[in-house]
Amino acid sequence: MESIDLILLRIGSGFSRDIYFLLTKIQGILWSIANTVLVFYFLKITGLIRTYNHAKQIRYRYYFLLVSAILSLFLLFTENGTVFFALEAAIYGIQYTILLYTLILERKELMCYFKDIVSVKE
Amino acid sequence: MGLFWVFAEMMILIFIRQGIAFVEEKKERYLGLTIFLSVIFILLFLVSFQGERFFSGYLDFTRKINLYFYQYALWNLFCTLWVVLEGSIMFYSLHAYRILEKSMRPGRIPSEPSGIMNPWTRYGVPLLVVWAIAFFLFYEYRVFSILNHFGLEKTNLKNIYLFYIKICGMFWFLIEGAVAVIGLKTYHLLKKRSP
Repeated sequence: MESIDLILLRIGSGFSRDIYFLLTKIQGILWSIANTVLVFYFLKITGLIRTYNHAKQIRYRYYFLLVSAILSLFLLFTENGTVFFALEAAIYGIQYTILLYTLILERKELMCYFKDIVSVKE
Repeated sequence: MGLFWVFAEMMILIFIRQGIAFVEEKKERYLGLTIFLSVIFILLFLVSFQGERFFSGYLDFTRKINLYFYQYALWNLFCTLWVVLEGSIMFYSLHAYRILEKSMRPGRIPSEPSGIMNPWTRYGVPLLVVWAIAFFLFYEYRVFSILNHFGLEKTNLKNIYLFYIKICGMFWFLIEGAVAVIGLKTYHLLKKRSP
């Protein structure tokens, strides 16, 4: 336990805010890329199912995703933690809203499509 | 915003569990999971807005450092929950992908009987939940113990908490990256099938 306490004490005195902010910037940009790809492919999958069902293609959700991707670029230029967090909150707010909205709106179509594939092949 | 993210991830987790059950033609509605997550969310909501009043009976908040300890610990709890929820979503997404892959390329995956979780998901989710919560509790316990023994300054305490957030951050990136790859692979799998 003492060695763990020593590590924590060392972190307390040595893990500066500058290192934290630099790591946060790197991580924030990587998360944003991963999350944008995730939402993009989720929308593409939903688009495939819409094509299969002869429904109208998704458009506005891609625009919102594009806005969030553009906002992600500004993460590189933030100077302080408060602005960074506000920007991140906006980016993830948009992306989670798209995900949740799509899941709520198109849940049945998604599930029926997957069930069709699984039951046909079985 | 923290509460919204937790709410969104809880909803996604419930939807994905129900979706898998529907595809596998199980009768389960996951009412237990929904109630459990709702209770967690309500508790989290109460702690976020009324927690200081509640915990003032256990921690002396007239000592500013105790108040900081509580506030940082609460934020770290949120960070831990995001790891748990996102990680669970990742494991269930993997399971959904494997069901699809098994159906579309029957020869490629050793066949598991329908309705049985693959080992990654079956053991991954409980291991992740137990490990993440145990790590959070252990970290808080050690920080509280150091606080009492060595009398940390606010800056030192904050640094220790920021470090914890960075540990969680590493997991968020890895998990979201993994889900993004699963999404990409699922899309390509489905695209081959579409006309």
